[in-house]
Amino acid sequence: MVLSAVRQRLGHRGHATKPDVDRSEQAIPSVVVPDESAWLLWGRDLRRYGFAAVLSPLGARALVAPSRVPDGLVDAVRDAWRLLPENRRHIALEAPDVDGQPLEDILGYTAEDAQAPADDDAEESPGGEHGHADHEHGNGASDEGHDHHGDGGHGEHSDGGRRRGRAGRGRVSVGPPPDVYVPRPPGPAPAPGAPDRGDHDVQRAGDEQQNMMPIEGDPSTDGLVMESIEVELGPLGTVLPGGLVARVTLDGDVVADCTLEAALSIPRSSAATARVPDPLAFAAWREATSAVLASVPEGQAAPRGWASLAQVELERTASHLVWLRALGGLLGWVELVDAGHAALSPFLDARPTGFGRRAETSNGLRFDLPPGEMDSALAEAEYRLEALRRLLGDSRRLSRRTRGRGQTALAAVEAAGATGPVARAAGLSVDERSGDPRYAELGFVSVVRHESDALARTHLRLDEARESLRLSRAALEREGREKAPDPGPPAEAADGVRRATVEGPRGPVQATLNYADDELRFAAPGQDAMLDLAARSAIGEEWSAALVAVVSFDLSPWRVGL
Amino acid sequence: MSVATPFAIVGVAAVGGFLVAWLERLVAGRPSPVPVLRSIAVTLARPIATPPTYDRWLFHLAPSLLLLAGLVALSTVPWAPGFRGIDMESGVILFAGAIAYVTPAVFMAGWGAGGGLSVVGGFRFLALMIAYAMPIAMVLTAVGAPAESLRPTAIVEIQESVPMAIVQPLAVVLFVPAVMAVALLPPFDIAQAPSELGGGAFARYGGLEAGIIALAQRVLVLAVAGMTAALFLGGWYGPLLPPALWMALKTAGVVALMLWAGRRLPRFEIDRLVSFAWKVPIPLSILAIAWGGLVTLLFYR
Repeated sequence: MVLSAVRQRLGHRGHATKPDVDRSEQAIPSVVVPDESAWLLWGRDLRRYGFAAVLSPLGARALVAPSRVPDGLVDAVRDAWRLLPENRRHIALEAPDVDGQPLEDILGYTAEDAQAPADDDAEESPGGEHGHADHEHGNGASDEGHDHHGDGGHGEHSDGGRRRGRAGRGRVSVGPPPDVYVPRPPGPAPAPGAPDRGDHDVQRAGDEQQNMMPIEGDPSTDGLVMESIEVELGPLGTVLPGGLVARVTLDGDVVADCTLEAALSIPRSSAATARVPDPLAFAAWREATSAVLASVPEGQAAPRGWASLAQVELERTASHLVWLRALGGLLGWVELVDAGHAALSPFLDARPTGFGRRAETSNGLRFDLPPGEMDSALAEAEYRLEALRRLLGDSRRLSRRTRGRGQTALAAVEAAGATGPVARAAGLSVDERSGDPRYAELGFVSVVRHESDALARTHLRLDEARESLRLSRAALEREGREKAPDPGPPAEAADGVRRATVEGPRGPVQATLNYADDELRFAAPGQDAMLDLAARSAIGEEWSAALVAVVSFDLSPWRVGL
Repeated sequence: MSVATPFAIVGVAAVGGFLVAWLERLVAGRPSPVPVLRSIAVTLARPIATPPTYDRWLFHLAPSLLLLAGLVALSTVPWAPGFRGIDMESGVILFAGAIAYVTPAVFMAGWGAGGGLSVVGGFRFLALMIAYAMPIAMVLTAVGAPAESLRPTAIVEIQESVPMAIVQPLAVVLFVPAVMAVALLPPFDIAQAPSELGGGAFARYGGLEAGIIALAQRVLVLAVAGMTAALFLGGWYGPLLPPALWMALKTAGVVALMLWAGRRLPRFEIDRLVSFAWKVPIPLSILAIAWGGLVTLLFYR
């Protein structure tokens, strides 16, 4: 089963999109997860991906929606429900601030529906991977059952048959037994005798696995022999982006070992069905894809003009601001969260629909504003970014938590092949935009710092966000008035193979097209290196500092190039 | 202390707990109290959690102990001349003793839950005790000196003309962060740290027990803010308004200040905080005692 999620953005009237539309031509990415599995993203993750509300997981049999549906979304929810096949499920996400109709009323869900035989689902579950109704906590191998309580949102899902019949009582309401589950990422098998950790009410902060062992081994830095604690963060409901998994061994509260895994991916696609492989850098991937498709003689892709450049730069601004907001959340610094959110707000869809009364938290980013609105949005964003710069400029509050955290030597960064802001914060002037004549005409200068720690990465992203906003404004001013310089055809990687590279928010994104087999391949150079560097930078740090170190790398949970 | 006193204390705790929760929203710019009520209803509707690996007694006793600590601390706060819970000669010591039980309650919750990050949360709060307990104890001694009593009402009465915050500014500067740490308020919320520990010591509670913990935390906030208002801001003294209203306003002001400060500061790291506490607040607390003795000799005898 494949779980897709549909993002609602401006210009779409609250209805799910059709499943078989070429997504390279539209601004609505779908999150598609392969391997016959499904991922349930929770509220904060969904907002990070820019989703207004998850209405219809197209291609699947489950509908995910707020437990109370605002009036503006009622029709859309009903339509999405109708689109699902007969053996359908629904999952209600708790949205505490939402006023609206109960989801189950809209769906016409009745108590009889809740009495569906438990064995049905068990029989449907291939390989026992799905939540078995006769298991109290679902399958032990799949980490179902997160009850995420964090700053700003709740996302909960059902746990098989145990809650059936109690729909609407608590915060999780469940239709017939769900076949949506969060698979446990591949990892070490649980220790013999390890307890089943499936209880939804108690699973928070990712997956904690207590692995009690005899106190033996080498002493810690303080001379004590400590009992190690195995902690698994993710894939959901942690400070990390949804889909990123961290497996950590704690020696006391010091990280003794850490591995990171980007667990989301989108299948390889052909030129005809081009899909963006990382929705967190949608505009950059679309730009790279368009460039390489334009090199096909009969290609129909849009030229790389000022407008597309502006979209890429606005996306970079937004991405860095979202990251700053997440950093504020990690640090428990509400003022930074609010300032980051305020800077993002001009590009947040303000329709009164979706999660929450505060409309800006409920809708995706929009970079396709009409010219008049775009001018005022850019002006407001510049003003808010300036306020953010004043907040963070020489802030001891920020440096107290970030200076020296996640510090990585320049040689290590170079050797690992890191890219993007992480490399630039270490002093490497690596930026695909430097060779693009369009950027040269706009007076682009790559931002570089040298400290190579979390503080440097924060300041660098803030500076880049401001620079990107300036570039966007300059590009949009030229749009329609003067032609953009031609960046030239994509590089010829080999005979019959073209490659286009665009600097995305986290580093270069690369689309390669093989004319012979019409296959489109994607790569994100440096992605593995940054996962490795981030994991290594956490080792030896106290837990809080380790999280700051990892988060400072702004890792994408989407694995590209599989 | 009459028969009705315990009921009055519980009533103040219930109403005050709700008002503190509402104040949290007000400080965040969301004035509507409805979500607070909804949150209470939702929490109570959920079943009590039973984690797969937990120590039954420690886990289930911790919320009650936390609430009891908050209620006892609250009972020592003098709200008005005729409206106080336990008016003991050593009331300030009882207050300190009550909030000292927050530490075992949090540790019991974290250890009892049995999860990796829950245990870390419990240990963090245990370590934090060094940072806040000594300043609180020493500052309470300093503010008791001018009144020559550790009875809270006596300390309030001696502030009729000049609030203690003016006489002993260092003491209030040391006391407020320390009691914020006891009340698990940001930026000292390192035992829970939603973004770091996902709830930490309290992550695994659900239903009624989660509600008790939420209430206990608000009661603690109310108690420490009330005691701050009583010991440093002149308690119920003030012009025109009734004494109890003055006390309520001052308490609300202290709560708002604490919540506002928590929003403006990033969370502390435990190792750095403990290290800082040894080097700065604890030595300054000794200085505060000396200053308290000096002003007592010069102005209060």
